[in-house]
Amino acid sequence: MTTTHAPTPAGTRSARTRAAATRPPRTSPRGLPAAVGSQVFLLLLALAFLAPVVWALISAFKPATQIISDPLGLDLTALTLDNYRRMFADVPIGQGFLNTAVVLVTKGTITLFCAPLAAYAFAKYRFPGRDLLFGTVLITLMLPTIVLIIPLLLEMKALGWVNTYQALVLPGAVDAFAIFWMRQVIADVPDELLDAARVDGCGEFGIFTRIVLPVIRPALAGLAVLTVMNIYNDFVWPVVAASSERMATLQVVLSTLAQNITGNRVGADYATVTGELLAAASIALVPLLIVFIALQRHFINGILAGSVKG
Amino acid sequence: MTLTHTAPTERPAAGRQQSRRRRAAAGRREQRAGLTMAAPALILLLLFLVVPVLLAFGLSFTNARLISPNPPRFVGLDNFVRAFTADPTFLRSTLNTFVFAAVIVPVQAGLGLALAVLVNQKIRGVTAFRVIFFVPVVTSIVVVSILWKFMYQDDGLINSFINTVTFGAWQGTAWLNNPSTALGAIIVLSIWQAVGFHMLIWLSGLQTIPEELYEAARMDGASPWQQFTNVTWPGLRSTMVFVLVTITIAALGLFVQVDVMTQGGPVNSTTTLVYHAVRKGYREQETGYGATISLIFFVIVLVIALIQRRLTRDED
Repeated sequence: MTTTHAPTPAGTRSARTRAAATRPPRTSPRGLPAAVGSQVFLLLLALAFLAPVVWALISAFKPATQIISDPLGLDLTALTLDNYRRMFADVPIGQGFLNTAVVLVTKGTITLFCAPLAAYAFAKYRFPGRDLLFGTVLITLMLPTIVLIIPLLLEMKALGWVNTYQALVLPGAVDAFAIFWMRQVIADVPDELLDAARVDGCGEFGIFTRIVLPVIRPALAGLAVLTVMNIYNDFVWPVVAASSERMATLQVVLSTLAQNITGNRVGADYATVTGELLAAASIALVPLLIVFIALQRHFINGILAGSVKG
Repeated sequence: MTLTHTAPTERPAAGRQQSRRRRAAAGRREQRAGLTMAAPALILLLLFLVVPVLLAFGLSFTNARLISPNPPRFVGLDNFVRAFTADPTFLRSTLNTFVFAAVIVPVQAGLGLALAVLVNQKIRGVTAFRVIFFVPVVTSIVVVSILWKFMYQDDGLINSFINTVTFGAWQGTAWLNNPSTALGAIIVLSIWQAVGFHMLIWLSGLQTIPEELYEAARMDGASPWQQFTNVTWPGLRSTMVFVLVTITIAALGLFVQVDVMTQGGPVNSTTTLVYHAVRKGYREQETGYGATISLIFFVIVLVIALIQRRLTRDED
């Protein structure tokens, strides 16, 4: 787990200087007691935020029957890998990981390339119909994509794309929010910078890849973070468009397993499924959690860098 | 589309002929570059956003089914009439959706702001707290729903915990099986899952407020609460609009928690508009009717978004 207490002096120092760069120090006249009070409060809150996740990660190692009979208890001598063993035998989780990985790479690449490129065109070029097109993008911002899944499914049937990677990758690969957000950011890139590159003989596309993308890197990192999170955790569209066992993504595999548990709440079978489900949920949770904790500074700063400006 | 209004119509002036020609060439190159770069995204949006919207509009006036030997037939407004007069589950779904949003929007925005203020202090471990509050956001909503489903069972974690804290005085209830607590239970886990994200958005707003304003306020003898109402809150206007709009749209689209945890039950106490649309249009294969519900849902979202825009703009 993350240590909440006593960071090393060096760590504190660098964190302080980093914070100081964005905002000067704020010293409260009654600094100490207030700080301790809010720290205790934050600590309690942190427990509430971590408890369910920690409970799942630990319970997955408990014997299945104990998870149900004693959800809070922990018998260190009884810890076991049975839940994981059974889960790997019964659940196509490997295929789920593979499908999610394929979608993550292809769809993520399309999003992170097409959205900033279009945003650049909208921010820095004049072309016929530009304002009308951008207006349309803005209206679709208000359109929850979930509204579209039924007609979109019919479109997939018409194209013969149900249960294919195309169906998982292409719809939603570019969303209005990404274009809108990146346009805000690129609009702030000074024109002189682009003109200077043009004078130096840089092509229009070269300006995008060599000047614009590097300049907007912090916001781009924020977009990447949200994109990866959204694709990895996406569920509604995959469950409708590609729910066959061969195409099921990780989240679809999980929910299929969860549906098993709804009806029969009795006997050893229920306990078995519960154990398998907690093991599967843990293993689905861990990769993104590790990436997040390893890169947390980029995650959080990326979102902080990219968000609202008027 | 509007390809017409681009030709420059200024009067030809002899001396500027050449530079004009050069500028026109540059303009054409610029137009071509702009369109080419916008094209991939626009084509994807057209194919997978605009086309389905038009399709939804068309389908909602038909009796189309997902799999059917007969071609869809035009039925006029029958689907809309059915939704409002002959489908109590639709009305219940609408009510539940509004209740969910009415609770989630203020509570989640308020808690997010409170957390943001707390983790914007200069105290130890503040980065760790930011990370911890963001952990549920990183966790998929499917996993979150599965975990909380266990926790809400009559012998689950939450009842065990309350039981321990109250020394056995609490008789557990199966939160999700009780029509009067199921929606509330879903509200709690939804806030737990998403509040960390809005904490970060608020935090980014807080960090744009210049420290000098606080110093000036303190010199005028403002209490912390006065500093908040007179400096912090006015400085968060655009952040507030963004947070409100995003939470509202997300709340109105409630689906996954319901699908994984309750399937709309018990006795329709947790069914929502999107869940109902998917149930009818996909699982029960009544595509035309499902499209109608989607269309009604879209109109509701649009109206609420426009009202919010108007309200937040008028205050300027």
